[in-house]
Amino acid sequence: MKKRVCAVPFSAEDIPVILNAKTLLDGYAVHTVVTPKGIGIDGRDIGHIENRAPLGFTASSDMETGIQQCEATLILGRVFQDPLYVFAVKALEYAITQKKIIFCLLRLSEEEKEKYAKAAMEHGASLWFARQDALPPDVYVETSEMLYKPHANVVFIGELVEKTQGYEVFCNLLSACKRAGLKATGISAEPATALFGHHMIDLSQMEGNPAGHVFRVNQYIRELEKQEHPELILIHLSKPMMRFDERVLYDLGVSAYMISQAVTPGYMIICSPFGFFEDAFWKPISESFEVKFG
Amino acid sequence: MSLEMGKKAIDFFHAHSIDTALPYLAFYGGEPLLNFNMIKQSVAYAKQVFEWRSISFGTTTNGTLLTDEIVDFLVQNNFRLTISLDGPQAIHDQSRVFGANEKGSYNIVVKNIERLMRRHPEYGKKIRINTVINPQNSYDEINSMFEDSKIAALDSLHTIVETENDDSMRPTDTYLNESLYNGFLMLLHLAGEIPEESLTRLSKDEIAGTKKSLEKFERGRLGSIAAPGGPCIPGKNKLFVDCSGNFYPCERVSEGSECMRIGSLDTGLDMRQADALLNIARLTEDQCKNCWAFSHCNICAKQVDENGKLSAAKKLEACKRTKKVVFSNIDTKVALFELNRFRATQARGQRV
Repeated sequence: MKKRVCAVPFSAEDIPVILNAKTLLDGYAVHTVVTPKGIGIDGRDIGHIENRAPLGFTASSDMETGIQQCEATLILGRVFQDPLYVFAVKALEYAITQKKIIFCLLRLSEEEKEKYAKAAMEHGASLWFARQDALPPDVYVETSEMLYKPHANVVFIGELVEKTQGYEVFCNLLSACKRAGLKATGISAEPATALFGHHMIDLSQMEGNPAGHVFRVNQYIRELEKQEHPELILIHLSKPMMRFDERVLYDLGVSAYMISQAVTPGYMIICSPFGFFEDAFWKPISESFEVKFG
Repeated sequence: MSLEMGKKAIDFFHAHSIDTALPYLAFYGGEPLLNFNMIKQSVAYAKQVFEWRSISFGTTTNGTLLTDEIVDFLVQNNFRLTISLDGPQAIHDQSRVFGANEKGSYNIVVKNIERLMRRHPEYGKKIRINTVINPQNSYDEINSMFEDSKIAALDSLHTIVETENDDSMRPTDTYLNESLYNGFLMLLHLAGEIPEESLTRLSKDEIAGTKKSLEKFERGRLGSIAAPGGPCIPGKNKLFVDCSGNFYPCERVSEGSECMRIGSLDTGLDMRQADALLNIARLTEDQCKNCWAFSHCNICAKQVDENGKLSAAKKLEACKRTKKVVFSNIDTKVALFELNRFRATQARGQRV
């Protein structure tokens, strides 16, 4: 019997987490989805938030009842600037007092994590935080070292522009691999990746000199392969793969390019806005990506 | 607008903006602050309905009713405040007069702005003045309102009063000469010949728009399916609700016009009507397909409204005006190119 999870506070970007928790979070299943009334989906299927077909979860605005009803609470990954951040903190504090098993994806400082861990211990709640992986320290003074080529197939999941559901594709693929019995290792900057037993790391956060960064990412992949022996490595690129236009530049696709220099993908999935189906649009992109990313 | 109607509009907005990251609710008039109580209660209601979301507010006012109570409320709710100011006193008071005594409002507006800035200096930096230019006046004289340092400290934007079919609003020679000269100075600035400080404030406010127009020349070729620019997606960017609960694409269109109505609070969005406003190019499809200025078009539905109907003839009139503007942009683009080439050859010590 899977333990029931109350996921709070929900917003559109949490859809991949809710949908894939059933497969990727062993022993647990999302039972209740809570979000404040102001979000506009109280009593409705969560798919409504993106005008999708029903996804099978009805949103409730009653945070306390939602948390009480379930054995576990999943505090979804809000950042400090998010208007729902304070709501998430409230939910975390309430779940602690209710002695729940808590999975916390909230972006908290180390001091805050310590504070809540202490409170959880005092109340008898179990509290888990998503922890970031780290790249190996920058020791590559010599750049003559051979780059490691992983044995596993590497798949990039990237976005042409923001909010084209790259993370959902990534999570769906992890689920599909698990169901098919394929041993896949996933890498993404999203905190839920750690919850699903994969690796939460933002490979686009470049520090030090660019060549050093490439070697560090490459060494990270080598270590990962040595320890986990995956058949497939799925890498979710956190920033779009090219600039959109003269104004919306993202990072000009530089981080995606740097990651591809560290680990060359065998396949690449590009998520784009719906409707760009012409060859005249895709052909040059396809050709340039092949050259750029290998 | 009654509070009931306001609440109904807010409910509609809430139900139709689930995917809007930053919902924004603004109040327009007439003079919206005449109904301050309704604004106050609507804001309280909107905050309740949009709980845990970053809803923000705004209003455009003539600035005559900015009492301490109203100002404090606007500050507390971080309103984006736009105040109409059409020039120095002599110009502003030509058209902005109190109905009761025909006296101009300039002095009161400026006093109110000063008081607001003393009371809330930080907020004061964020308010914006909107100048509606009457080209019957002198461009330089309008610009002289920025000699007042308090006015100069404010953010500003301006539009030219609509002159079409109204000879009493045609630009005078003085206005044309002065504005063309200032346009020339802006060109020199864009070419890097003179610093921004050399420009008048009105010219400075035009720099971003001019750059944007020039950027259109950098765009790639059109795909096999394309539509001219200009109209917004009605009801998507903005949805204006009048006192009776009727919908319009924005506050600038005529509320008396049948063709601008895109539904109501009772019947919802009228998609057919919205589609007609979005696709005004259908009125002149053949001409649009063969138009050299296709990708530079900025004609919106408002410009083709003739007595409540979308008119092809009106659209073609607007086309003529738009093409003139695009042609002038080409002039600017070529002039900038030539100026840059001149400088490059000079730097190499060659003759042009």
